[in-house]
Amino acid sequence: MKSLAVNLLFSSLLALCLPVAAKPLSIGVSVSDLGNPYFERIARAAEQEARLQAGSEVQVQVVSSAYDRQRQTAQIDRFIADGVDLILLSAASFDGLNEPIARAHMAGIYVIAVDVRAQGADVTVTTDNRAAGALACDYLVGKLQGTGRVAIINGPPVSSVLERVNGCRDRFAQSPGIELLSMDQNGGGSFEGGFEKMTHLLTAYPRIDAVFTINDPSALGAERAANEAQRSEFVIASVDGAPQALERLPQPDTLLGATAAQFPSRIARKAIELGLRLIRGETLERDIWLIPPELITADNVGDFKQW
Amino acid sequence: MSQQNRAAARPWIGRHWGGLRVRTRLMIAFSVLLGATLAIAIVGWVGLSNTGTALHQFEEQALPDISRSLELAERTANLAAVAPYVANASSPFLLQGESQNLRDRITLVLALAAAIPQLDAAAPKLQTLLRQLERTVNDLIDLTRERLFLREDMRQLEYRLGSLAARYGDDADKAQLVQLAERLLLAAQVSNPAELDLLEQRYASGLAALRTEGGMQEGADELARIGSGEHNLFSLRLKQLEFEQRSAYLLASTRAISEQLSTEVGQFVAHVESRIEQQSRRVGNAIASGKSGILLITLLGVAVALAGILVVRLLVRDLGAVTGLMTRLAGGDTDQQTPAVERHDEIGDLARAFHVFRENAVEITRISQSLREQSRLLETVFNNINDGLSVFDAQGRLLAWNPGYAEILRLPPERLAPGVTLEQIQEMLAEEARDSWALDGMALDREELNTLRRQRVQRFERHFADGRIVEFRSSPLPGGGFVTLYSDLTERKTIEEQLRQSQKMEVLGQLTGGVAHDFNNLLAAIIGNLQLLESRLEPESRAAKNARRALAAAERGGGLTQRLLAFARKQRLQPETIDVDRLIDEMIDLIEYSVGPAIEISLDLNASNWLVNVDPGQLENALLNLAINSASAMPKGGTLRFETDHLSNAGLETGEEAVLIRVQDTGSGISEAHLARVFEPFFTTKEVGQGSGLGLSMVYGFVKQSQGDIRIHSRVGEGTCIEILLPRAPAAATISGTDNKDTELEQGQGQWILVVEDDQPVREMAQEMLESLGYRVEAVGDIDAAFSALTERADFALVFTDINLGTAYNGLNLAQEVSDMLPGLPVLLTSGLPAEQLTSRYGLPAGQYVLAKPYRRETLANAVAATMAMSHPGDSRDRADDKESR
Repeated sequence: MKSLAVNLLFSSLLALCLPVAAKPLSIGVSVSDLGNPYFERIARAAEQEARLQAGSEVQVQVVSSAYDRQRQTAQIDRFIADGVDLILLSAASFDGLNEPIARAHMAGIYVIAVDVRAQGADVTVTTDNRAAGALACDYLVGKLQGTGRVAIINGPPVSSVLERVNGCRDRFAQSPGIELLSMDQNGGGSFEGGFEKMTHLLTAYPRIDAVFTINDPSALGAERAANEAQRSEFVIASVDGAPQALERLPQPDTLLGATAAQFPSRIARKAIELGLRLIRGETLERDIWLIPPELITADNVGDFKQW
Repeated sequence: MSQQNRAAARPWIGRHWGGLRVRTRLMIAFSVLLGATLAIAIVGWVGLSNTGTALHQFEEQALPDISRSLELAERTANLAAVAPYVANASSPFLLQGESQNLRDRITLVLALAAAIPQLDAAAPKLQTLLRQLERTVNDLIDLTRERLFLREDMRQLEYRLGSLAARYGDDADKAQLVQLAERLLLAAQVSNPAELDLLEQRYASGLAALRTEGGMQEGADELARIGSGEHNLFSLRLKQLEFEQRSAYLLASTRAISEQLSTEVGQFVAHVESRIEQQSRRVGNAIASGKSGILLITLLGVAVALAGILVVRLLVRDLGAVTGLMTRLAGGDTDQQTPAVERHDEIGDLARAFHVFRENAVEITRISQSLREQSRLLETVFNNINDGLSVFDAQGRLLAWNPGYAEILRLPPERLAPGVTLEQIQEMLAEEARDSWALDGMALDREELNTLRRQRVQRFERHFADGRIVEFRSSPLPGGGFVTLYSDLTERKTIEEQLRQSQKMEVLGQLTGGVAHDFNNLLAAIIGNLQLLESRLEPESRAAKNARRALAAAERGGGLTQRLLAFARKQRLQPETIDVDRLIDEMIDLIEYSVGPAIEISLDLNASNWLVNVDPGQLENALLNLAINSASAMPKGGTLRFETDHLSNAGLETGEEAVLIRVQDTGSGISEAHLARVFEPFFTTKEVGQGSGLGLSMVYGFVKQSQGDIRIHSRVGEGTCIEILLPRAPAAATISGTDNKDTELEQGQGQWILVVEDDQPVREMAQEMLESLGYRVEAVGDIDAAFSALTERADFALVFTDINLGTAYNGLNLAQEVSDMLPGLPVLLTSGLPAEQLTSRYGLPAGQYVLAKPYRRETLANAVAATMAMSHPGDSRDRADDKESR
């Protein structure tokens, strides 16, 4: 054990002192849900960017935590055991991973929080979630011309979701004609959850003018529920810019009006760039790097490239 | 025995109830009512408390039981519904939420179950089932997490396969590798273990082929790690399939447990329901018993109240009756029955008090009535007595007086008022009436008298100018002052005068009667002897003439004696049938004596043969009175005329036929004002002391008593005419009076006559006269001799006896003895006394004939003959023969 620790310390020092080491760079990526294309996109973009900047022999391990802290802890420890140089962590919990992150630091590994913040991470790269929520809800307010009854389908209490909802609510609050019917329906950020919670809302409110969902799967689930209930009096706006959503946007019978697109590729690329700079011993300008979202509607969906 | 007791108890109660005071009765009634009310209140209170307790218990136990059981039912039903969400959680995050939710629910249900103490008894399997469900759900959650992780692991593998395909996809040489990777991706979707096994064999052969080709070592290693290394894709997939089955089983198990739970909870709910039902039935029973208790007591209370109302009504009725009676009593109606006296309570007392009140009221009414009557009587007397009455107080002020007071004293009534002093009144009196005279004629001092009047009874007189004498009788009053009675003594004085006069007349009458007896005896002896003498003389001789003259003179003396007797005798109606003309004719000499020589008397008598039935003495008296009145109306002389006549249209009550007697004078006449009052008693126009004023009124009374009528015609200066009408009486035979000198004397035939006469001259005269008439006479002087004669000789035809025989044994006694001893022997009575004196003195029966002395020879002859004829209707000799033969 002692020799192992000495080795680790030594190799870290080597990595610091020798930016271009003989040993190929190894990166661990732990995302929340590989079933979600967004995270898959982050993983692939990170892998591409790493190959692009550090050579094709870069080793990239991609795992998924399924939003499970223990599973993610195990994954981080595995990364440490495998001797990775950099961890891109899409944390299942903001403050539940302090110990594995500390252990990673002990092993000389830099931890970059992507998509969501994580306590103890060296730097964080996320979408400007607040702007994304504001952008989507600004679209809704514009659609309603400042007057109407709106609902929010909420998500898990993680920073990105909280920020999006706050941004949206702030925008709604600016228009006195907007009546917020509900904002505590937690759809879990999934299609099924969106479907279920929208069903609740449709049952509870005979007339809804607009719905904001915290992400595209929720939005699509909500739209499906509305279709099943044969309700089409409202418009939906969400955050993500996921491929399925982009497909849905231009279709004539769609309820989905807009999505504030995130850019997982940009996040991943920025995270790799910052990680490499850290490995090179550079000092970063700031701890948090926000990637601005863009609003995509049926009008500009054609101009929008894939993530 | 008990029946007897009961029968005895009922009257006892009735008696004691009836004897109770009203207050006690009402107190008893109110106490019973109060008791009933309290009982109702207590029963109601207890009932409400019980109900409240039951409700409280219901709230405490049943309601929570209901809500808990309902919640339990809901929650258990929910558990099964939530389980699939857990099983189908699409993301670990969702699973965490749902599983937490499910665990919370189970915890809640467990807590609920633990909070229901009776649950174990009612649903014994519930806890076990819940534990089982918890285990199953935990298994399901764990399994689902495993599944999710497995899915993430599979996705990692698929990501790696995708990376492999992406890296080598463009390279045609690596097509075999990519194909194998794609085959592995396909295997990740297979759901049939057999197919999976087939795919693995193919993969193994493909990988072996790939390795043999070489050149793709790195890719082949990667594929080998994915497809056949630790946690290779096939094992993961197989595990996934196992997990799916396991999940389906756990879900089914959850549902089964859930259903069982529902059944259990249903049982518990049913248990709770039945318990609540029991409780509600208990409460219902309690309420029903409370209600019936209240109803019972209420009925009792109502009954008592009704009885109380009845009692009060009876009381009020009796009370009303008593008060009504009292009201009527107050209104003066005392003639009513006392009600409810038999009661022994306050009303009885009231009724008895009412009784006493009524008695008092009746008494008071009676007293006041009697007082009123007395007062009215006194007032009437006071106002109507002829006497005057005055009352003065101690200070000599007038208090009261009656109309007679002013009238008698000739006081002006308008000046009399209460408070007028004695002195003022005395000044009102006429001058001559101010002096007082004692009854003996002494003058009295006024001041002294006024003082004395206040101290003791005073009697005195005052004389008025018009001749009236007023007597003052003054008595002091107990409270000072005096009361005085004023009597007009004028009339009384007159009457006293008349009384003295009549007393004198009475004495005169008695004197006359006494004298007349002796006088008649003398005259009888004189007349008898004169007649005997005359008969023995030569009729034409001077001696015979002298004898006849003496006889006439003696007879006139006898007549005068008769008149005197008639006048003096008592005024008593003794009607006789008389001839008015003859009566007037016989009394004319008396009238002449009365009126005096200055008056000329003329007669015009035309009423002979018509008889009237009157008291002759009274008629004489009346005529004499009228004559005296007329005479006084003719002080200077005049003519007094007596007329009689038959009147056939008299208009009397007894008939039309009457005898009219008219007395007419040529005197001063009577004024028209006096004419109406002449028949009033004491009315007189004469000076005081000149006449009694009784004359005309006595005449009036006599005539009216005799059923006749009297009329008066008079004119001042032309004289007065008084007409007396007397009803005609039917003619009747009479033995009295009529003797005819011309007729033949009844001669005796030698019959024996016993003469009883104490006066010897008369006896001898009678014996001689009877013997001269042809009778044989035995004369005795006393009664003993008479009885001896009657004993010695049995052939007496007549007993001729004087009534007054100078002894206690008189002629009437003798006649009675004779009538008893010798029935059929007639007795002729004779007496010198008038008939009424005989009646009053000797008890002479009315209608008994008495030969008046002095009698003439003819009268005696007739009387003897008639007497013997009356007792011997046949021949007197026959009787004598009978007696002799006996």
